[in-house]
Amino acid sequence: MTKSTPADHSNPTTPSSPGDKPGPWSRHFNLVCAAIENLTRNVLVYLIASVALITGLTLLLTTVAVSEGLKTQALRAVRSGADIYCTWDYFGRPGPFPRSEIETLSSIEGVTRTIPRIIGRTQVADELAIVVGIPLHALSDEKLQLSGALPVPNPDRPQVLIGYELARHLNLNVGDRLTLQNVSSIVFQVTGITKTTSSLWSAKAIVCDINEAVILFDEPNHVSDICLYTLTGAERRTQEIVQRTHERVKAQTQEQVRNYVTLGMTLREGVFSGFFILALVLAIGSFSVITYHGFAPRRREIALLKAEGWNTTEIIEMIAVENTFVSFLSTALSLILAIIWVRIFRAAMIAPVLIAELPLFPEMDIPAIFTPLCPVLATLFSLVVTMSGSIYTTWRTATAPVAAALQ
Amino acid sequence: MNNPRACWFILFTFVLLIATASYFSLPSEEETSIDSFQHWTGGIGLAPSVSPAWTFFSMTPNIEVFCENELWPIPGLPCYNPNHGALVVELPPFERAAIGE
Repeated sequence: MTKSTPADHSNPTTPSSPGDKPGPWSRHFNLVCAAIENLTRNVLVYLIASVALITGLTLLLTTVAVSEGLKTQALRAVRSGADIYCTWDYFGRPGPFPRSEIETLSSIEGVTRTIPRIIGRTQVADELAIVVGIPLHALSDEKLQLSGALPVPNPDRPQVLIGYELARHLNLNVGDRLTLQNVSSIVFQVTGITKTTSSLWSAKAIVCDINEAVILFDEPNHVSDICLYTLTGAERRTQEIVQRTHERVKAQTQEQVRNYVTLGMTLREGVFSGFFILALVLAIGSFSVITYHGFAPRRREIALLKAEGWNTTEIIEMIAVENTFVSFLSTALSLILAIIWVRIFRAAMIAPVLIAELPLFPEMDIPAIFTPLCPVLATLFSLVVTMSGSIYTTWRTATAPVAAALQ
Repeated sequence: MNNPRACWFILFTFVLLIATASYFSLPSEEETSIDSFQHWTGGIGLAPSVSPAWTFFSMTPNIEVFCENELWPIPGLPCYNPNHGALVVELPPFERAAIGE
């Protein structure tokens, strides 16, 4: 550890050469210089003290960025999805939608496309995967970034598209065979695997033709929901007409789903609160103990400055400048670490804590957005931590008798 | 200031701050662009889970509007789904939000 000595500190009110009258700015400039020299002399102490702060901030920034990224990707998903989602009400919750009602919905004026979907869950090896059955013939003209090709309806050799993480976990490649079993059992051929850059929710999805999903779940008379695509601006009116077709039909417009996502994602809870409290408690405590409260050379240094003729305000100002530098540096380092962690290492080790059912070392791109608000909040957080951990203890030392502080 | 270490320190600080600031000047992903997988499937997901292993509500809340573990096997007990309050965000029940708008 670098030995601290205040010997090279000149009194900030002392002019640099005889005859110079110290102005108010030169006094502050001298304090800034003294603070920088203090930092360079105590760099190891500050590094150790900032470890808890940087760790906490990195976790915090990662969580905020993933939260923002998830919100943005969810809003993109809503925008890319259907205009109206129709479900059937059973006991106050969505239930299977009768196929017999699909024709009624298709015939509504303003509806341009009707896509029934079967969304189910099935076990594949030790994974529970989501199975999405959609009419592949109606979607054959769509473009999708993937390895292999999109599945096409083929009753003789059923085809599926599977998510990247599921394929990786099951060690499946394009052309391999995959048996899905629920009520019935079907052997599929894997024709496509989504890319790592694909939507997060494709990670463990299995997409097949709706007719094969009907066989798999043995449910010929019902589907999970109906996606309606309408003429632009006709969503609300169509929703009202759809809900009048049957008292059990529940319809949600894209706008309602978007409002729900925006509301829900703004209410940050869970891990975010935990990380925030943990970071704050650890950082303030460790910073205070390591740099000032329990660091005897620093206390003696403050006492010697007092003996040299510095007043308490000057000492506190110098310490505040030191901590401002530490705050900016900690924020910058934390932000760089968080960006590397999320963008290069794909939030390794923390991904399943933030997003359920992801592996510890995911290969999918984790949605994350570092907004300019992140460093602003992180700097404020750092300032709170460093100032709380230093100003009071500095003031206590600076106002104590010099002899007592030197002990 | 004649201390070379202090000069290096100032230089390091400026380089770090400029590197951080330059990250935000990079073009960001277009928020409103179309997601081809979601466009193809009609929209799957929204919630912070990639699998409906515990409940569909954790992954795609417009299919299951609340956590099914609240009703089964014993309705009324505190929900034992470990995803509640443990992920990056917590979504409210879908219909609560619809009523609240």
